[in-house]
Amino acid sequence: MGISARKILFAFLLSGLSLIAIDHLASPPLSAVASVDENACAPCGAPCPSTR
Amino acid sequence: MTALARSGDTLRERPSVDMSVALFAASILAVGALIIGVEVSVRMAALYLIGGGLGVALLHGAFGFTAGWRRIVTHGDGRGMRAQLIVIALTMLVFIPLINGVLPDLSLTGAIAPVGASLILGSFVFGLGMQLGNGCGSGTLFTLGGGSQRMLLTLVAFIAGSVVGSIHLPWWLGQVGTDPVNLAKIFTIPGAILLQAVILAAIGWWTLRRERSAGYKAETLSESPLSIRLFRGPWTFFWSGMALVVLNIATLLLAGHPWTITYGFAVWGAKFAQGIGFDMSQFEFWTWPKASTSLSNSILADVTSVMNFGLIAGAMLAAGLAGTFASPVKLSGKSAAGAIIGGLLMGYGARLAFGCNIGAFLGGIASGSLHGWVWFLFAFAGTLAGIKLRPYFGLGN
Repeated sequence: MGISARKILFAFLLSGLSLIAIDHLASPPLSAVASVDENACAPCGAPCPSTR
Repeated sequence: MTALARSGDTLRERPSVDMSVALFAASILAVGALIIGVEVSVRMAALYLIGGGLGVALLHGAFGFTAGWRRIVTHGDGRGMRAQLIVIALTMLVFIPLINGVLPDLSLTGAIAPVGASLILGSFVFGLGMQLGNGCGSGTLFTLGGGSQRMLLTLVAFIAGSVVGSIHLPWWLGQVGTDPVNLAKIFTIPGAILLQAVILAAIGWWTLRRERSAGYKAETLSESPLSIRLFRGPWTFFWSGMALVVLNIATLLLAGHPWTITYGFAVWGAKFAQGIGFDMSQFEFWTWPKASTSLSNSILADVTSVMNFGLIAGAMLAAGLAGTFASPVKLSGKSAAGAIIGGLLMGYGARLAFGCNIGAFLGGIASGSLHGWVWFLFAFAGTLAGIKLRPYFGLGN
């Protein structure tokens, strides 16, 4: 009998939670990173075609 | 769950509440909100819970953009498509005035993006991919939260495609294209709302006409008491749609921009690539201020990612309450191939097209951006192609 769908999904979710925790703990303090996006022309932060 | 519930289920036919899943998901939501509130901000914790609410609404309402678009084509069933149009119309009534400075104290940015080769190709590819993946950005997340194994494949491929798309986007932006077009700047705020309302109404009228000509008759919904349906589902498209409108407006007010999904996938993939030794800063996209900040910051500081996490947990909670988490489904090789190819296409397309059904279609049109309409046109064309290809991947229409 193979591994059930529930077990696979729970394993995936727990792996995801672990990666989130590792990333958060390994990241610099939030106040240390500036967030400037003055020339953004799209939600992802892409610049305008006219400036390229 | 949804097929059963929408065909007139009774309480006796319902699966019982899956307590272990419901409690696990509720714990993830509660503990997650607490950690995010302490580690990041209360505002981010609120956005996480808004994501959770969106997950519940999407799963209980089975509010899928992919199926809605497919069913109007294949069955003449326009309910899903009309629900989407109504959600866009109501959201737009609030978004366009707010984004265009009716309340000057609020600094809000709309989902407004350039129009060009990148958008056209990306939206077509996305529309095709969502039919093969069997879910768009929101659909991938809420069905994954609902326990779909197939969506694990789609999501992993979606993330991979997003990273490739992010690497190629700067080249595509250098091809033919124009700067964003904000319709409210051209037609004034009332003019833009009126113009878009007329177009949305015309599309809605087309769905009704198509329903009549196809002889489609809607199935009856569950007769369960309201209080039970509220927690255990199913929700009508109206309930679910209204929840999406309210929660998207709350997102705009709290995050400063409309609800988005797929940017988060690119961040997850880039962080993973960076984690295994790739230097993502060699690629132009990841040198742009927003993307480089997302890459270096904690994932819990990225609004899109945090809302996505909440969405998955919310959908899992809803599936637990409905007793439908991880319903057994046989996954064939062809179907798995469709999930992977669809995910790759959606990921690539979403980056080139500045988002998915949520960020570009709903968010774009509700923001009064021309790119939202272009996205809709070409993604729908891609969907028509995807519908033709679905049988080759063992997917029914």
